[in-house]
Amino acid sequence: MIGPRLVALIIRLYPASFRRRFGEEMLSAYLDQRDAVPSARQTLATLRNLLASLPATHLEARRVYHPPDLQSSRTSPMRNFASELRHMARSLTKQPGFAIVAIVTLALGIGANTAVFSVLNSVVLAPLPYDQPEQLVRLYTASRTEPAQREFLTAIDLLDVRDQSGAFSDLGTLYTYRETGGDLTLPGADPRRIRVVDVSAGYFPALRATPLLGRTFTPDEEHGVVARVVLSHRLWRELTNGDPSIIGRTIPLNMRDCEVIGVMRPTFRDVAGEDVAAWLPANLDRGGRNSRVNHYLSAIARLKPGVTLAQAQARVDAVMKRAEDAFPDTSKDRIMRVLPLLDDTVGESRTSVFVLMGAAGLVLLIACLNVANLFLARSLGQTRDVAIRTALGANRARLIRLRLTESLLVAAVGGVAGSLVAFWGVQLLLSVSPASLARAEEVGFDPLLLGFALATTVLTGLLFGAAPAWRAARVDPTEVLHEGARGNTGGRSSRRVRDILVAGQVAVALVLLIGAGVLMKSFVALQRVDLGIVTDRIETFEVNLPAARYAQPGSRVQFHEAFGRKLVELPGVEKVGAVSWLPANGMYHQWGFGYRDSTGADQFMSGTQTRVVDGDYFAALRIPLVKGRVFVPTDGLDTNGVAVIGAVLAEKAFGRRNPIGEPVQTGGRTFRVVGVVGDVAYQADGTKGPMVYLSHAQFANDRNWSLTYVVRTAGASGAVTGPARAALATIDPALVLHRPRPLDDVVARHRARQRFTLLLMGTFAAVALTLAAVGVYGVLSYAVTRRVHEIGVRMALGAKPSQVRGAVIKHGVLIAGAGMAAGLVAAIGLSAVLETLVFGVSPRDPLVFGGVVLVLGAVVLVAGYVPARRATKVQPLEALRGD
Amino acid sequence: MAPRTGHAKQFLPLPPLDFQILTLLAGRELHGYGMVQAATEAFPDQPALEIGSLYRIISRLLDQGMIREVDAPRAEPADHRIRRYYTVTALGRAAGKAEAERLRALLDHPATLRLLGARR
Repeated sequence: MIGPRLVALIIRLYPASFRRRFGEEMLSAYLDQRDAVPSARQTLATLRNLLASLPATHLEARRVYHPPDLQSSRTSPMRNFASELRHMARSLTKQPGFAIVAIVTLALGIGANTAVFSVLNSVVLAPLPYDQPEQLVRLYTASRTEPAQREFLTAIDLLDVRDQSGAFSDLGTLYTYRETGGDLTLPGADPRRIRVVDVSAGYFPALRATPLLGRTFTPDEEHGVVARVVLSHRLWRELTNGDPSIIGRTIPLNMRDCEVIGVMRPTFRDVAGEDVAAWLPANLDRGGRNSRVNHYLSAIARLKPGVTLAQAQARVDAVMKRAEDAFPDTSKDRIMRVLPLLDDTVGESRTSVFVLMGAAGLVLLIACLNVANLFLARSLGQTRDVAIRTALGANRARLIRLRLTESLLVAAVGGVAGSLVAFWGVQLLLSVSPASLARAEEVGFDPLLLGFALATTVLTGLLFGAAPAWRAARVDPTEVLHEGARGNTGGRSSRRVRDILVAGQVAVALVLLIGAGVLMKSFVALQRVDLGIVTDRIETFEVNLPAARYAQPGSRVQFHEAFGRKLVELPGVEKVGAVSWLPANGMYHQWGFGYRDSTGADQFMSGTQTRVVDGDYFAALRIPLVKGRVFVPTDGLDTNGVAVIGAVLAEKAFGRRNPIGEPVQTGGRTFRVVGVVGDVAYQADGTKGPMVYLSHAQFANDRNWSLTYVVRTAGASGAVTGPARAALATIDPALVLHRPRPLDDVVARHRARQRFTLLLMGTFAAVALTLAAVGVYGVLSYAVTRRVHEIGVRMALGAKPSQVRGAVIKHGVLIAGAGMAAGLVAAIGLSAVLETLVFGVSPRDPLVFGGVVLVLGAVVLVAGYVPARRATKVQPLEALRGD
Repeated sequence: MAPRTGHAKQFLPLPPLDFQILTLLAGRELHGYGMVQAATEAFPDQPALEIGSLYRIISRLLDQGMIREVDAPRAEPADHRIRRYYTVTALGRAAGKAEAERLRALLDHPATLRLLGARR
């Protein structure tokens, strides 16, 4: 078999232009001749003639006409590139299957990835919208025994740290409890409630936020008595349509005329949320509520230049230690935590963000595997072509460049399609993303991410497209041509590479599907979790009594009594109650709880959820009474204080003893336990803990409680809002029925993040499943095409269609089986990552694993059945003639 | 574009193998080895057409516009060998005809006949 090589060798001696034009054709003609007249003498004659024709051909070549599209050396690179592009476009449109699958894969992979990363990037990963955000920290209190706590701070501790630690250039407090909401009662307009935050003088400077107009607060104003307000840009525009003369004027806020001293810039976002409309000066006066035990403040601080987080923590620790030494009874074991603000903002969602990023990466990996497979298949199909051209002296660099050009062309189209998918994907994600998702309004489409995804997939395409071309260029042409004679392209090893790539896709898809399955099951479990209450047909709304007109506790008690009576008389209303903070709505008022243990010694428990309730709160939410009684109307301001405790607290504090009648301390007063009720979750995921209930009628003098009404209705809960508002107006037309919404919505809002995670994960899994199906289909389909000859022979020899079909499907099952086995191992290995994300389900849930294997197996079978069917349609004669 | 067949005479005399290929391709479309086969069939007594010469001539005839490449007339076996098909152009036909007439006139010349007769 030395002939073809010698022929190729001599052809290389021909003039380059001639060789490019006729070289392959001559070799083919020689091979045709050799097949027809396989004699050494004939080959010798041909070789002699080839050598003899050399001089004349060289002479004539000088006059030879050069077709422009084959002349690479004398044209400009750009023209060359353009002509190659044209050539590629032609060759791609000849095989639309390849181009379409490649482009769809790229579009899905790049698009889904960029969309999700854009959302994650803008929402959680992007820097905070403040100057030098890495210097910003958030402060929390924790107990030395439970250092992971994030509790509110006392004003005294904050003042000590601010004035003594020397760690911070600015420190600002903010009071985020809901009671600080403000009623805006503008003449000629309906009264409305706006979100107001009390901040100290250091708050805006810490965030390096300067006002657009006027000024912000000074330390002289940190006393709470000054009626001065800073407006948000939005509120200023709403109130005055942007009139700068507002500075110095007053607005009626909480029944006080507050002087407007400043307007913030439109770009300023409060740490507490986008909807903060105004800021009031904090009251940091020592004494009163600013004791060493009243934890109610949040704080933001900016590290001094050159001070690290660890140094700041050490200096804060020193200050707190001094307080502990000086006031052991109130400050024992109290520590203050210094956390980066960004970590705090991302906080709880960190794990889900990492899981989603990992999932996005896996989708990109699948897309890359798919693209690699496609390009590999395509290049292998052209190996012979490349081998011959190279043997004939074609420039290897040019051949490889041809592959690169092709990859780039496909990638460009895929990239454009991917950008569209990404753009729509971002819109779609935003439309379904939870309102509670932090900073969702800042989501932008990130071109850098698109570039990254594009580059990854294109590089994969280039690598797997060009590598076979590179290798083929070194392959012995005879071997390739010989192989070709058997109609068997793509050697055994390359076939194995493709099978492995698809098995890899199946494996990754399995991991994603299992992740999505576990999250879905977790979400279902979350929906079914027992909150300890019955949430359906409950309407909720807030009513806040302006301090100026309801200064006396008695007037507030009277108001709620009157309003509750009016509500319960409304048609369709069954029970009416009110509470200071709704269940399943997060922690609120975690107070200390004092009790006597079995030996009669005083004990203290921190972090007890304290709720102030009014009316038929327990009956409205169907919270069961375990022991004793709930509050009755005779538990008034003039009677001895009584408390109702949850079962967990009763168990924790009193064990098996009967808690009824026991004296307990909370909120600085002593109450007698009169009842034990079923535990109610304070987190939407069903988390329950020690909880104590006080009666508003008895505790109204502690502060001006803002109560949220819970109204159990006979029919749809929303219908009660209108009549309730009318009833409110008959009592006090200046009051606002704030934020009416069903309790189900309140709970759902807190589950929105999980739903969002699930949605993204589900999308990823769907894309993965699709791409894996495409991969399996592609590989089997290609295998059938490759083996048409063999199948033809087998069918000619009497193989039944079912046997042929079975062989193809068996190939698919082997690939998928190997992939799924690997995927299962990986999924089990990765399940620990999901551990903290899932609720009420094991990340190794056998039902999920089994279900996913079934689904994936079914999809793979369907994807494999189509090519298998096609194999049975092979006409034996045609297949044999084809060679 | 009307072929300038009137200029066919300028190519005369045609080299013998060029002429042979033009006659092979007259009214037919053949690829490289097809021409070798056709030549062997048609002119078994002539020296065999070899691939080196063949493509040198194909190149020349293409450049002169006497033959042109055509689409493959039938489905090719899927073996990835490259087989381009060629046929004569009007110019090639005219040149071949002119050459044939020239040869006929040469052969019909008494001197040629004498030569042939003498050999017989």
